[in-house]
Amino acid sequence: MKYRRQTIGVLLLVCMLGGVTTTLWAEQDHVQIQEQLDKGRTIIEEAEQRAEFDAEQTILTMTLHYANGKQRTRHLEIFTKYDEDGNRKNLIRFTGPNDVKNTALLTLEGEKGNDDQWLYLPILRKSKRIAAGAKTRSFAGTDYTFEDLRPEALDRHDYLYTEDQEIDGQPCFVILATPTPEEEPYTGYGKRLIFIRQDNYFPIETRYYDKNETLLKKYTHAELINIGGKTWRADTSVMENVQEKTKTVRVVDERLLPDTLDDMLFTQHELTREY
Amino acid sequence: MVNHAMRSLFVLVLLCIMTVCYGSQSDALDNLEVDVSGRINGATHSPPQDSEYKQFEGVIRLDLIYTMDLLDYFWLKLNPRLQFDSEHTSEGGIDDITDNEDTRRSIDLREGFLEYRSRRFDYFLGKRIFSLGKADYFNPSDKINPKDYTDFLDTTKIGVFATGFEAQFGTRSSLDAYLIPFFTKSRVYLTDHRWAILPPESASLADLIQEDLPSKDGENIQAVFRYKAYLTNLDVALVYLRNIDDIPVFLARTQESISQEYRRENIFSVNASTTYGNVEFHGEIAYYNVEEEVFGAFLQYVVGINYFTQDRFFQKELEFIGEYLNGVDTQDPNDQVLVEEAFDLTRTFENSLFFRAEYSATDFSTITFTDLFLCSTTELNNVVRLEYIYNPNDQMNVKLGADMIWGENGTLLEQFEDNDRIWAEVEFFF
Repeated sequence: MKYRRQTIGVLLLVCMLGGVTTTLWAEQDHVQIQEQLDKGRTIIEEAEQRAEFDAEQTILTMTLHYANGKQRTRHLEIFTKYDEDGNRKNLIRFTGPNDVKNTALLTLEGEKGNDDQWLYLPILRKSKRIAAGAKTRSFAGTDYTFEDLRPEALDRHDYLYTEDQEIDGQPCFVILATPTPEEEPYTGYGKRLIFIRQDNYFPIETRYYDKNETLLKKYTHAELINIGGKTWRADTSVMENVQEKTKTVRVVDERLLPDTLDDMLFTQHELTREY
Repeated sequence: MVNHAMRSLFVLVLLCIMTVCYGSQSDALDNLEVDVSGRINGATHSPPQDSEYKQFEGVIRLDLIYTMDLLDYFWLKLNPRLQFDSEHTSEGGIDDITDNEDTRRSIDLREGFLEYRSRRFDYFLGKRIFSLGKADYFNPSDKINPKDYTDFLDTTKIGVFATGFEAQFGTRSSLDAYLIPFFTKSRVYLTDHRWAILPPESASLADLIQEDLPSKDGENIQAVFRYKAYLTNLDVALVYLRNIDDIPVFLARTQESISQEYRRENIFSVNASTTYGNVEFHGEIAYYNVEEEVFGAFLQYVVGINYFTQDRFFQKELEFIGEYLNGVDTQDPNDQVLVEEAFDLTRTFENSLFFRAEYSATDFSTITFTDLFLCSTTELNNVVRLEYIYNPNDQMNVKLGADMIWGENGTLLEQFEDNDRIWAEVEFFF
């Protein structure tokens, strides 16, 4: 009897200790995850803040590579400006070839990821709003989607710092970006792995995973140049669709850095203008 | 005939001069776009309204689009079009500034205007094609340009001579104002054409029809004012048109004659678009305040959606567009005897559904299914198009399609019932 009571007592003590330990471990895991989330968020915010540049005009060439070996070339110009609140305005216009010339996309960053996007199609002579759920569609037949062309929606994703890794000999933070429940229905990606260089906070590579967590696309950059202060840009970028075996290579032909760009450049009036 | 040839030659010479003058500049020809297309239509039935029925007809079209920046602030656009077809529905050369001929011109200046451009204010003068409204198909206020119904299933807008400005107020709103001094009618065949709107048994009525074309004087000036605002997730436009309807209404004012009259109207319209989830919503309400009581005032409204998704099997992009148009009489017409309800084309397609599904089958091809469904009767009244577009490179499109029409008694589509066809088209861009 005495031994039974002792045994029960020991068992109870073990259970209690186990419960306390599990709770402590869980608490520690939770704290650790929260620390990783906080760190990931800090890194992303630093990267976004460094990416801001008052005004830019870029003239570039996109080459679309298809699975059957065919290629097509697109010429574009891109105007980008950040306002005093740090919201990005972006106008992309195709300048060639003739069958896509004057097709244009206007993106105005809004609060909490509520961006406005309009697509102008010259054949219709109308601009159309892009619905949030339709941002997963391909932009003008490239491997970029409308979602890829909008600013990083910081309020609609969680950013978890996972580890450090080297890309092309450069140490990088590896950030796991996952959509919040609010964003999940509208995104085409289950998650993204963003590799951010530790020296200049440039996202040198991004891996996009579909909702089955299968690798879908890879976005890589090369020929980095410093355009001023802490801001870096890539003269060559490749968006590769691993599943479809297609890729879009983007090469900057000319980069202009005016002191400012007129806000009127980022309007419907300019979007629907033909050249 | 000589004048026609001289005028058409004028545009071609103008283009040549511009090209030669700037030919020494390496990018001069970069401003010239060439669009050549050839199409063959194969009719599946003999349409009774076309006495010279041919099973196959061919159309060749050449568009030259020349744009040029002048002195940093001006922009010139010229778009002459050459078009020839085996049915000889195009003939002659460029006529007046107003294109009021029943026959389509073989050589025509589709657009030609000069524009002053700045960030906040544009001003233009010349022949131009406009686009109003948010919808893909039904746009009640999109009435600046008349249409060519020579091919009823592939209507094209006719350019009008106009002047006007577009002024920006801040970054989110603008005001457009256009003045169209000369009336231009739509091109509609009454008889003896596969797309004639009069049924064969009514062909004799054509002899009774007297056209009352609005004169070219000040009281027939048309004007458009449009205020646009772009808010967060909402685009709104308020539109006013002082308009003469380019599509005639047929009225039997006496027993012995029928007049083909062009309704004068003041159109007040509001259109808007917004998005929610995967869907883009758009709509328009337009009130037609007509100047003559005999026509009767009415209201038209459109609701539509664009929905984008991907197919479950191949994950290819799939877009759906659906629109519904209807109208309501707001005034009882008096002393009015219409020949046929169908002859008020502006109102013919009220209570109709437009549906289109566009599927990106491969990186180089698209399949489109389009259905215009008239809900006005219990019978089947449909225009269905199935189209396959193959785009092998940036300079070429190949299109294959089939058009099918079901038209029951008492509707406009009745006389087009036997106008089913298949067609093939090749298009080159330079």
